[in-house]
Amino acid sequence: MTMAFDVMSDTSDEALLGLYADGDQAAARALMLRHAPRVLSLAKRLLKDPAEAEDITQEAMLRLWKVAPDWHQGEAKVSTWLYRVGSNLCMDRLRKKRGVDLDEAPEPEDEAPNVESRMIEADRGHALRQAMDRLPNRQRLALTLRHFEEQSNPEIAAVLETSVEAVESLLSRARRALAADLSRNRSALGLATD
Amino acid sequence: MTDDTDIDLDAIFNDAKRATPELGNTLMVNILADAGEVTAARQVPREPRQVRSKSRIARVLEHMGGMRGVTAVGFSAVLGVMIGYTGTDTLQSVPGVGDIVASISSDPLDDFSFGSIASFNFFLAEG
Repeated sequence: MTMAFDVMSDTSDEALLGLYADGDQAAARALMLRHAPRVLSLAKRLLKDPAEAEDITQEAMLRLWKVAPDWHQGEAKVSTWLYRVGSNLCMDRLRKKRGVDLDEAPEPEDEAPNVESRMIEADRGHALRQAMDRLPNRQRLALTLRHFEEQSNPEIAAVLETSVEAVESLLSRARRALAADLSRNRSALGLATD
Repeated sequence: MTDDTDIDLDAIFNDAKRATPELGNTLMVNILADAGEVTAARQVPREPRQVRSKSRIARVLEHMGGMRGVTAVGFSAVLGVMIGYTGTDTLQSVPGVGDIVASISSDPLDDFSFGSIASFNFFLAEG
């Protein structure tokens, strides 16, 4: 049975996975449109390489297709599972890439139509990205999930497979380190220097 | 939140936040192609599980009528050996078998002798 995509907007992720496991390709399309952009966003932020981010997204979705028939209802949220798989794939790539000069890493694509407003934010954004790059990978991942992907602490804990307390501690350390780093670069942030 | 400095991290993060990127056509096509391939691979009928061929002994036993046949043959063999060693007398103690043995022993043919047949005597004399 194949359901039209618009009928699927109210269908839960788990139900869509079940439909896909039964061979419904429209369910796969619905899942892709719902989740792949978020994995892509995370991967772009962590890897800063659009091509690699797309690879990661495709790989994460492929793993979802493969696991679909064995998906246990209520065991994990599909979004959390995908973030976890995407994060792990990104971390693997970052570990392999370690040693590559951060300045050589390509800048993320600028998709904002308003060039002027982007220019105002550019320095600040650049400073933030560079400061985040200097953080340990796990802290960077936690910050990205919290502030860019807007995941709650319990959701981040599920992605990182750790406790909520550990996530709070991780985020706290990350924010302190980030703030300290950025305070050394006040001019880029548009703040008065001491 | 200022994190011990006057840096407003939340504001900086909000500035840096961008809309979730849209999926490119190529990526969408690739993801859906993967989904199709995984489905197709799953739907390929699995090869029928190979029926384990019977061992030679099992096939021989089958020809002998299975376990019942083999038991009957075994029983007959044991009985034959028993008769060979002890004679028919002991068989009379075997329930059911004893009656048969007794009836054979009392068969009138026991008293049969070839001498009572004239043609046999003639055959012996003339060759």
